[in-house]
Amino acid sequence: MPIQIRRCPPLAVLAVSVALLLALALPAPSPASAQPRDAQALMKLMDELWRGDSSHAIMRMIIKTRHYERQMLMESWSGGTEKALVRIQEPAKDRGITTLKVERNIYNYLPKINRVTKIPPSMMMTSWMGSHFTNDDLVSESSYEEDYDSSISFEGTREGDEIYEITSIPKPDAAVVWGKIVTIIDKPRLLPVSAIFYDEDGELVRTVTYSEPKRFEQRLVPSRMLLRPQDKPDEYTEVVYEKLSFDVKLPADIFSLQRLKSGR
Amino acid sequence: MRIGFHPVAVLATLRVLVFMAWRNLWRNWMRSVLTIAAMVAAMSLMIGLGALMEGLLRQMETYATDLSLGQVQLHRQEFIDDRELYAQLPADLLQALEADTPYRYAPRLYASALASAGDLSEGVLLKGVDVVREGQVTRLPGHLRRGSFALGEPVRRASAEHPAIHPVVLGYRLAERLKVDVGGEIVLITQAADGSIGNGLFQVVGVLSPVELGFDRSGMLLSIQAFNTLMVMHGGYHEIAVRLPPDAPVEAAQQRIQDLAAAWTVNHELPATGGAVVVRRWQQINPTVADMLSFSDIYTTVISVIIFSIAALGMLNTMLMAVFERSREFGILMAMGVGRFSLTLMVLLESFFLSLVGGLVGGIAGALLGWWLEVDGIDFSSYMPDGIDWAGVILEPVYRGHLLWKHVWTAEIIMIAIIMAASLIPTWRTVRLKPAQVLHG
Repeated sequence: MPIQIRRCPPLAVLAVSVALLLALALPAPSPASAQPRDAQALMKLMDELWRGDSSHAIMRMIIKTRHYERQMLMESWSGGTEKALVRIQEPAKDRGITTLKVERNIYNYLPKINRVTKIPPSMMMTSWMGSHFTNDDLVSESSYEEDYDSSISFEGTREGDEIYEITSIPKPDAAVVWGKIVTIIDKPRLLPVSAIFYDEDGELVRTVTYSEPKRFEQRLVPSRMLLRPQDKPDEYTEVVYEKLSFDVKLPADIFSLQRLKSGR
Repeated sequence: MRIGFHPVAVLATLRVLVFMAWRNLWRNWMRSVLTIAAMVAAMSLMIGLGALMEGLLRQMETYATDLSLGQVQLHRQEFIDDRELYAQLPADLLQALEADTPYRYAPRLYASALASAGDLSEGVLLKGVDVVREGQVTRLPGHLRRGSFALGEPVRRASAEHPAIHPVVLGYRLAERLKVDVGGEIVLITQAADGSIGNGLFQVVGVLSPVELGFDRSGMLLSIQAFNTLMVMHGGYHEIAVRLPPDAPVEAAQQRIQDLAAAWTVNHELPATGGAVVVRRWQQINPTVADMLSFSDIYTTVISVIIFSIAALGMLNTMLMAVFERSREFGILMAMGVGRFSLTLMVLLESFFLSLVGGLVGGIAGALLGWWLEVDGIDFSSYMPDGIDWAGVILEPVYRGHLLWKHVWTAEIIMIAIIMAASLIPTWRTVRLKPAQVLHG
């Protein structure tokens, strides 16, 4: 159980980054492991589980807004929670555009102009690649554990499903954008169901729902993630995982700026 | 010499009075010349000021309309409110307007982007223009400090190995800030209309002369095709600027375009985002300049009243002196039977002649000054080579006046009116003279 409690909120936040994949890719725990524990222990366990992980994924992102609808096919790699690389494969005009996340920094490589640009702090809350995810969503995941206090706010049956509801509140001095994140977890399967984000005034801002669990290398992971902004009910961003593998061997410099700049 | 009622007698009396007044004027010629000189100075100042004001207004109007605004503009409401990228006027509307009216139309597109040259980056305002049509509506294509306005064709076409390089023209301060000149390469990064990262290579082909403070600092011109490629947009416009034939009434044209646009929207569908089509004339788009233009008439009148009042004080002084020192003379005239009315008329005539001579010479001097200001102007270019930014309008470094006949005759009328008003005081004294008193000393 501990694992999910700590992991699910990051999932929601991290839609695009591969770090998210890690979170999704937790080994399905046996029922025996699903025992309530105290928050401290859960956190520690999760941190340990998280470290040293790596992943590789192919995913499709579908963005629907009032003004445009587009799809991107992306390949991504992650190393731990701190590093991730996402490269666009389709559409052709954006092919090769690459985002590198290292700790709290985000860099974009634009092949057409052969340039690497760093996202300035002022642009952190703007859209990532026109989706409903912000650049901040990419980086905030890595600081999730240190920024939020999580507790089990509900445990039991709701609408016929056995769930855990976990409420995460930012620590007083944490520099985060959310006022509260509520994560719902499917108790029997220990999979995330949804994450609901509130701003500092307690207003519902957006909802992320997870669906269609699939086995990727023996791990059961929701293969679809749908983000809906509250103020624009007709808009959404959906991420569909087409391939996902864990503990892959990555080139040592894959997350380096030099390699990003070389456009490989 | 009491004025009789017979017309011949009246004329004869008048002739004598006119003769006396004219001769009196030159009895103390030095004083008269000095007074006239004051009036000439006031007149010249007034006419020169009027010409300078007119020159300024014409420059402002020219800058407001010739360089970028046009006389009428079309937008979607949301573009006016928020510069909404998706609030576009369809290309079909432009074609309909061009087919139905004799006016010239220049479509434009706007977006913000990040421009980099070498290690320097600046936020820029992109303005997509139709090179040919823009030249029919504004003087912008010729308003270059360096280089050319050759935005039409790509510098390098796209190929398998290389992306295309499109030409851009920069505001002069932006060029300074990015440290680029004609031939320099610029990279643009922006959020395109489909949400992707719009990015591309560009080459500077021209640098503009000063247009307007904001545009000088951040404006970047490119062709509509290059704009649409960068921004992943298709076929709409944010703005259509209109140029009317010379002397066409702006409001009537605005109404006509408004009616045509309204009729068009009945039969065609506007893109969903953007709101109504709004047609405004330049005075509505740039009320600051328009207000200043209408205010200037009041301003010029107030200034002229002040200047002429000062000249009138000099006049008042002269005439009072002339009346005082001739008290005895007037007494004798009255004792000889010259009526008060005749005497008053004579003093008034003296003032009138004085102002007439002053007005004539002053008018000529003022016209010459105005003409010189119009032809040569005042050259500030050694202090301010880029011109002066005044209320958001860039004024040329050589300040030229513009002389209108209106300036000369209004100055003439105002001056004679004020001088005559001032001369009523000495006249009043004359009327109240008591011959017996003044003759006794």
